[in-house]
Amino acid sequence: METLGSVENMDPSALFRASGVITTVTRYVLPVLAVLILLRCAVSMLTGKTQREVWGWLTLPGGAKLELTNWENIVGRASSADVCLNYQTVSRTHAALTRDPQGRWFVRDLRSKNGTRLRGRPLEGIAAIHAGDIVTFGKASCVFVPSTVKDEKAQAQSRVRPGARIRPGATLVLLTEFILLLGIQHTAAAGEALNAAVPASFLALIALIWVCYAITRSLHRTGFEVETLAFFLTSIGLGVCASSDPEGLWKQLICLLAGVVLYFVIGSYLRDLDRAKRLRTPMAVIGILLLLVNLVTAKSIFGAKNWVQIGGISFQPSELVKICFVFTGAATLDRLFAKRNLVAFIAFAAACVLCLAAMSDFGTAAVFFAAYIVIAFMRSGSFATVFLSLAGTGLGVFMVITARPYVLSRFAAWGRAWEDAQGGGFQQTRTMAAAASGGLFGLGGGKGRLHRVFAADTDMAFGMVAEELGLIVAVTAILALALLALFAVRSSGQARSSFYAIAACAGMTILLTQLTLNVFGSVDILPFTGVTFPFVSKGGSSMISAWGLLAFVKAADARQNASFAIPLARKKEKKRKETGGEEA
Amino acid sequence: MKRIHRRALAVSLIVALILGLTALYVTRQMLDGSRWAGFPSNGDAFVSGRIRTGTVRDRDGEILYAVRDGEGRWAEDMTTRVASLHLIGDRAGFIGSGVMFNYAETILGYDPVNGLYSQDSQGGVLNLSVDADAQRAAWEALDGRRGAVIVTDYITGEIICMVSSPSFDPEDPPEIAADDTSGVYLNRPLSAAYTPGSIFKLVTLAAAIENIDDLFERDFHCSGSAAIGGGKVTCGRAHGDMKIEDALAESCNCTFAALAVELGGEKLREYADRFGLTSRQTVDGMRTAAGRFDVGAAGSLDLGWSGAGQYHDLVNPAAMVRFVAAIAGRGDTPRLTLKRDYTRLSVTRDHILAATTAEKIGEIMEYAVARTYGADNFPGLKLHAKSGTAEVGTEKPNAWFVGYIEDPQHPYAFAVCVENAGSGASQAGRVANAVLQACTK
Repeated sequence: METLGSVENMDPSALFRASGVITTVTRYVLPVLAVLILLRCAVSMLTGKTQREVWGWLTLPGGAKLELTNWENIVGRASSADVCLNYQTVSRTHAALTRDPQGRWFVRDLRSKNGTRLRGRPLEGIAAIHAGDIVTFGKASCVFVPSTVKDEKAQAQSRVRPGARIRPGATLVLLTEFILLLGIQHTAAAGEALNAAVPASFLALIALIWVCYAITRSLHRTGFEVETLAFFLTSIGLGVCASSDPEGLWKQLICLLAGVVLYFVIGSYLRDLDRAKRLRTPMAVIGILLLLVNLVTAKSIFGAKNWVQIGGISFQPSELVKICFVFTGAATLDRLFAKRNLVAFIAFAAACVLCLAAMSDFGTAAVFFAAYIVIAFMRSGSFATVFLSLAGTGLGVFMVITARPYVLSRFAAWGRAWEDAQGGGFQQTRTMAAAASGGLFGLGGGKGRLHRVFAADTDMAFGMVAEELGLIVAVTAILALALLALFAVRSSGQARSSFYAIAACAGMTILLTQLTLNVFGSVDILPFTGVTFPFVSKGGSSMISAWGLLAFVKAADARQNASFAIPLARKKEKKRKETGGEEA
Repeated sequence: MKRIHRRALAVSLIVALILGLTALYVTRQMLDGSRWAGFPSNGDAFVSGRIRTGTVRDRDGEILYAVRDGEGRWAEDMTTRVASLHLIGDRAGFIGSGVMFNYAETILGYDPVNGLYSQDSQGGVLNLSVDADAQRAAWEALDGRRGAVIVTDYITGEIICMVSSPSFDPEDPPEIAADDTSGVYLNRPLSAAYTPGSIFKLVTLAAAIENIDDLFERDFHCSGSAAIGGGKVTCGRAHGDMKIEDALAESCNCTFAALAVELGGEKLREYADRFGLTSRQTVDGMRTAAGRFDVGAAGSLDLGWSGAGQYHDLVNPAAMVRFVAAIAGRGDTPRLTLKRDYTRLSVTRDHILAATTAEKIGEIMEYAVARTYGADNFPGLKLHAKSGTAEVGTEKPNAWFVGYIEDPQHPYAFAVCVENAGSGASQAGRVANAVLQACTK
C-alpha cells in the first residue's frame, strides 16, 4: 500500500519528467537499431554470390555442358538468351525449354528461321523432352540431360542457405528491442491517460513476429529478411496508430493478423506454379467485380468514393484488387510466347484504372497505372508499349484535369504549399513543419502533435514518423521498402518462372508507388494524393493488401531453403512414366 | 529469364527515383527546416498561437518574454510589456511583426539535428539587440501619443530600440473593436509610412551637394515665401540671407523648393530610390513598408513641395534610420537586425551615399543642432540631427526628429515620429533625447 500511495501522490510533473528521461535516453537508440536492422537485412539480401539452381544441361557434341538455370530457358544466339548457342544456324531467340513443377520438361520452337528438331523430327508446337533426347536447334545438336532427384538433393545440400552469414534471429532480437523501446516511449508519453491497448499491442506484435519466425524455422526455411523488414515497418505503423488513435490499436492488430495470414496463404498457394497460373482469370474477374460493386455501392468518404461498408465494417475493395491485379498481370514464359499481345491485360488494366478514376481515387489509379507499366514492360520488353501507354494516359489525365476543376486545384498547390498554407498547402505545410520539429532523432514516440491534423495517420504518416522518431528512422522506413524492391529485382533473375519474377516486381511497384505518392506528396515534392504508406499508415485494408503483395516477393526468392513459398527439393521422381508420350 | 531479369531493372529505376527524391527532401529539411519548424500552425511550436517554449531577452539579459511550465509570460514590469508589445507579439497573434513569430525557431531552440526537442523543456533563447531601458524611456516619452521610435547601431545594424504607440498590456489585452482605426496592431517603425516633412530635405541636400557645384558658395535669400510654378511656397518666417548650412538648419522651404526645381524631379527620385526610401527594406527576414516619392511636373509647385518633404511623399521610419545611418557611416549603412549575435564576424553594409557627401551632410546636421535645436537640449550627446514638421491635412502636424550621435561606445542613429504632436524639433526632439539618454547610460 505504501508504494501504491507514493505513486498516487507523485507530482504529475514528476511523471512527465520520468517520461522525459525515457525519451532522452531512447531517442538516440531507436535510430541506431533501425539502421542496424536495415543494414543486416541489406547485407543478407543483396550481397553474396548468386548461386543459381541448375535444373538440367544441354551437352554439345564437343562435350561442353550448358546449364539450364531456370524452369524457363530461352535457347538462342542472342546474349540475352539463357542458353547461348553461338552458331549461324541458330536464331537469336530460337526455342524455349521449360520445366513444370513435377519435373517434366518441354521444348517449344519460337518461330526460328531454321527450325528445331527433337529426336530428328521437326518440332511443331510444344513437345515433352526426356533425358538423353537429342534436340537440334538449326544445325546445332545437343543432348538434353535433366537433373535427377539425386542431383537436386546434392544441389540443395551444397547451396548456401540465407542466414548463414547474417543470422535472422539476431536481427529479430534487434527488432524486438526496437519495438520494446517504442512501446515504452508510447506508454510513458501517454502518462495517466494510458490506454492498456498501447503496451499490449506492442507486446502482441513481438509475439506475432516470433510465432511467424517459429513457423518459418519449423518449415526448415532460414530466410526471414522480407518478413523482418515488413514487421519493422509495421511496428512504426503501430506507433503512428498509438499516437493518433489508441482505441483503434485492436482493430489495427486484427487487420495485421489478417494480413499476415493472407501472406502465408498466398505464399503457400504460389508454391504450385500450375495452381497459381490457373488463378489468373478468376482473379481478373474478381478484381473487376470488386471495383464494380465498389462503384455502385460506394459511399464517399473524404472525397474519394472508395469505401464499402458491410455489416458495420468499412473497407476499401481497391486495396484487395491490387492482389488480383498482380495475379492477372503475371505470366509464364509459355504464355508470353503463346499469346504475344497484351490486349486482354491492357483491357483489364484500363478497366481498373477507369473504375478508380470514376471513384475519384486518382492516387490509387496512379498506383495501378505504375504497376501496369512495369508488367507491360516486363512482358513485352517493348519501350513502344510503355511510351504509348504513357502518352495515352497523359492525354487522359489532361482531359480529367480540364473536366474536373477540383482535381486541378490540387495540382495548383503543388510546389507552392507555403504560399497557400491554410488552403491547398494545408496538409503539406503541417507535415513539413512536424518533420522539421522532429529533427534527426525525433521528439519521442507519442510526443508528436501532427496526429491532431485530420488524416495525419494515413496521408501524412511520413510526417508523423519523422516528427516522433526523427528523420533517420523515417528515411530508414523508405529505404526498407526500397530494399525489398531491389531484392525483388535481384530475385527475378533466379526465380524459377517469369510468373514469379513479374509478380514480385509488380507487387513491389505497387508498394513503391504508394510510398512515393504518400511521402513526397505530403512534403510538397509531388502533388498530394492521399494514398497510404504501406505497412505504416493506419488502415486495415491497406495493411492486409500490403502483406498480401509481399507474398509475391517471397515466392520469387529462390535461394536455398529461403522461402516457404518455394517447395524444397523433390523427394522422389514423379509421374515420369505416365508422360512418356510424344505430346504433352 | 535473363531477359525478364533485365527488364526487372525498370523497378530499380523507381528505386533510384525514390532515393533521389529522398535526398532532395533531406536537403530541403536541412536547409529550410528552421523556417518550417517556426511555422505558426506547427503544433510542436505553438499552442493556440502562443509559442510553446523559450525565452526572449534584451541586450543586457533582461527577460522580455519567457515560457515556464508551458505558460508564456511577458516581462514582469508593465511599462516594459507595453513598450515591447509590437516587438514581441501579442497573445492573439494579430501583431505579425512580433519576434515570437518571426524568430520562433531561435526562441524554440531549433537545430537541424534535434529539431524542436529540448532536453530540459526550456527551449531556446533569443537575445535581442534592443535595450529594455530604451524601450521604456521611449514609451514614457511618447506619453500616450501615437508614433514610432527606432534606434539602430550604425556600425553593426543592431536595432537598439523599437517602440510603436498606441499599445496595450499583452498580459491584460483590452477589447479592441473590429472597426478600430488606431492601428494598435501595427508595428509603426516597420510597417507605417508617414509624410516626412522637412527631414526629406536631407535627400534634397544630398542631391544638391552632388549636382550643384557652387552650392556652398551660393547665397540664398528667403522673404518668407517664394513663387514657384505659378504657386507659392511659404516659410514660417522670413529667414533672410543664408548659406546652405543655414537653410537646412532653419529648414527653409523656399530654398529647398527652389533647389528641388533646379535639380528636377527625376534627379530627386533617383536619390530617394538610391537611399532605399521608396522600396521595402528588410530587418532580418521581415519587410518594412515601402515609402513613396511622386515627382511633380517639372518646375511645378508640387515638385517644389516634394523637395521639401510634402506633396505625396511618404517614408517608413526604419528606412529613414537606415538612410541616416549611411550619413553617420560615411555612406555605408549596415543591414538592420533585431538579433544580438555575439559571434557575428562581419557586418554586411550597403553603400548608398558617397563618403564626402555623407560627411558634409553630417557637418551641416551638427551645425543645425548648434544653431537651431540647441545642444543644451541634448546634454552629453554629440548630436547631428534634422527635424521635420510634416503637415497632414487639417490635424496637427506630425513631429519628426532624425539623426545620430558621435560616440564610439554608442554609435546610434535614430528616427522618431510623433503623430499630430506639432513641432518636430521640440516634440519629437524631446522624445529622441529621452531615448538617447537611456541608450547611452
